[in-house]
Amino acid sequence: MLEARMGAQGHDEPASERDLVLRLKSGDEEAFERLVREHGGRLLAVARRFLRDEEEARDAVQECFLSAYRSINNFEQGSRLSTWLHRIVINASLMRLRSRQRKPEEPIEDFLPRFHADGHQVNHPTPDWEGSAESLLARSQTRAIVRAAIDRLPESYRAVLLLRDIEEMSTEEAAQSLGVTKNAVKIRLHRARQALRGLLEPQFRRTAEC
Amino acid sequence: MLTCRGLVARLTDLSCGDLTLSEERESKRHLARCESCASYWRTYRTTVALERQAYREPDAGWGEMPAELARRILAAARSPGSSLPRHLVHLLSGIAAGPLLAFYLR
Repeated sequence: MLEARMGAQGHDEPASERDLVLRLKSGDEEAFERLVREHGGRLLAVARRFLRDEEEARDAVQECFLSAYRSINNFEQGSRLSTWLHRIVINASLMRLRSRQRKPEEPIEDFLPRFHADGHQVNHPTPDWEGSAESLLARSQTRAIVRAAIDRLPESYRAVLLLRDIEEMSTEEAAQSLGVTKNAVKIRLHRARQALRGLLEPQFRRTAEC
Repeated sequence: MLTCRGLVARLTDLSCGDLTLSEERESKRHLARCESCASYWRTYRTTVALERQAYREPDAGWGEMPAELARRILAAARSPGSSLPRHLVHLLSGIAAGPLLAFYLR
């Protein structure tokens, strides 16, 4: 799935990339410089999403490239460099997230739906929102509102949401990256999406007309 | 019979196509007769669409590699020891230090 997101299929590997890999494996410094310049910006954007700290994101990108530099001989011909680097920078970012001191987090339960004992929703009827995703996205503030809401999620939920929905990893890939079971990824994704919905509702809920 | 609680618990699997056919049919029947859950399902899908798009639109400067960071990485890669894994560097340093230590302790 990640391969698809990166537009990467082994058999479509362009000759220029094959050449670049060969040059990297032979220790060509100019090839490494090209790798850094071509992929650095995109990898920095990925690290920024996870870490939300410019210096830490830059450090993660540096770790990613140095790790790639050291292990280029393990790179399998037929894979795509972009996919490989993408995985490395995500792992470097997740390592940094894990080593961070845990801060007090907002309880997620406040944003999940509540039910009566008979299984019906407490919030009845559930209000619709002011428009479709497309019309909401047409507003200039929407992206900032959604990103701010994602940032309010506890780290373990935010990481799953980013891996599955933004980086488009499969459940299995996300589970491997996080070192948890596939089931744990599914549960966290479900709760993260519901909590995000709860966080966004006050912003987008259709107000009753007088 | 599927309750609202049961339906909401299935929404991620429903959106990912991970339900069995009978579970999917049961969920869709519930959505057809429960306006509250139908609205919840609509806003749930809108949420997923919004979060997927929230990072799609490149910010100013997205995709650009800061020159300072590129220089830092290239310098670090050229520095001695960078081509060896750190644990290997420590191991080799330890091996090299062994005879020296033995010499001084004699």
